[in-house]
Amino acid sequence: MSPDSFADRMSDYIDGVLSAAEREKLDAHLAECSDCRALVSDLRSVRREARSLPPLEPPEQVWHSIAARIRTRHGSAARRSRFHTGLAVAAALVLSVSLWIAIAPPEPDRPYTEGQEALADMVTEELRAAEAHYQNAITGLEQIIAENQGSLPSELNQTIMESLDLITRTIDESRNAMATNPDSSVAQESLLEAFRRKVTLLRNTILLINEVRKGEGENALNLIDEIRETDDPSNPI
Amino acid sequence: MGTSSIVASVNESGPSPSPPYEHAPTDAGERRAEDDRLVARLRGGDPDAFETLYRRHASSIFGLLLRMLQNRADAEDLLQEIFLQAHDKLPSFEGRSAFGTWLYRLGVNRCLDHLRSRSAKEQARTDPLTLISSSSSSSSSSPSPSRTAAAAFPTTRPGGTRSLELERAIGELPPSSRAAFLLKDVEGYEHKEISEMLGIAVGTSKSLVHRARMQLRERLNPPSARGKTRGKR
Repeated sequence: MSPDSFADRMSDYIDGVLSAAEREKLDAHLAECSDCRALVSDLRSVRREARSLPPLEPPEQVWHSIAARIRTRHGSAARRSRFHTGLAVAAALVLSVSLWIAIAPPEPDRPYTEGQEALADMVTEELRAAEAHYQNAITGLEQIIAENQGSLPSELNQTIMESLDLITRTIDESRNAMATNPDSSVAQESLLEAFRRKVTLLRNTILLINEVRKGEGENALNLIDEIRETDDPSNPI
Repeated sequence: MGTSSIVASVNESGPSPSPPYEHAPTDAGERRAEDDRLVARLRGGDPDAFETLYRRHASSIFGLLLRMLQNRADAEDLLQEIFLQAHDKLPSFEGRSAFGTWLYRLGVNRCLDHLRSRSAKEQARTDPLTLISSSSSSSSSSPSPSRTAAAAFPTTRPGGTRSLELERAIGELPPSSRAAFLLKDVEGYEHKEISEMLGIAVGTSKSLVHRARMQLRERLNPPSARGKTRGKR
């Protein structure tokens, strides 16, 4: 190992992340090399000084501004809620209908129109209707997937099932939260967001099954990427 | 940081276990559990939970922003923006990563975007805060990191001028090295967490932190001073 290679490992050395063998080799080198001993000492010092930098407190005004903007948004959100809920229902409706046309045999008309008319009254009723529509779409999509079980590699199937379970748990949690606080806009948004995720994941799974059957490897890989993105809720950006 | 503090550590041998960071996670599991409870309370309609989350994380995030941007007004604006964005995105947060990690990821990426977008404008703009602290110095319209650091950080603080010197040197690091170094050595995150926050490989995180430490060493204890300080031992 050259002196430069030793120098490159010094941060790992002071962080204690080297293997026992690597550490032993570096210890032996340090016993003979005063320059590297000085480097280790200086790097430790930099780390210690950085660690002791004082915390920096933001002025209280920042929180007041955030709180004020959240309050303002909530006021606007309540006014927009009816429109957005209707939009979510319409999206779920279009999605489920188009998939049924593409994949499943036609069925008698579903009572979407009644649900949409109910949206005009109260936010809680709107949400109930939205939930029913999402649930209808989900039931239909799940049925298609169940009928095509075994079409996907078992490992991928397992990952998809785990993601669906996680989303289902989120839906249950959001429902519980709604039961406690029916007016909470955060809980309402959480519920609709979870439904949206579930519909997207189910839709992509069905498309994936179709691509695998057709032998369209590239399209299938793109869909797997999309599924992974749906499956990455911690990505905030 | 003066040379005396560097000399003081010469006799240390071997990596000692890292002491808990004063303003960093001391018990990641406990912190995560409490954050999860607060997120659940917020989803359950308790608006006070978000204020508690803010107060638990604002100082760390603000420290990161101020040290990244070297400008107090920008750091305050971005802190506000990041928490509002976090509030908006909470419905889609399912808790696979810790809330704190999620928030840092949001913050550091927003910060890097901000630095990229302002770099051209900053060259031609004179920061009024800088003028307050150094009105008689250079007439350049582009404030140097040391000038902006003097304006951004309080001069009366634990560690005094030594820690201010370190703040200035951190401000001179390239943004990606600065971010990795702050997350590792100031906030106490592990390379794996840093790699997730910055979207880089663990090896890249190690390399960025090492380069930052080497650059800080050169800046704070230049070769010309090393012989003298070690000679005094």
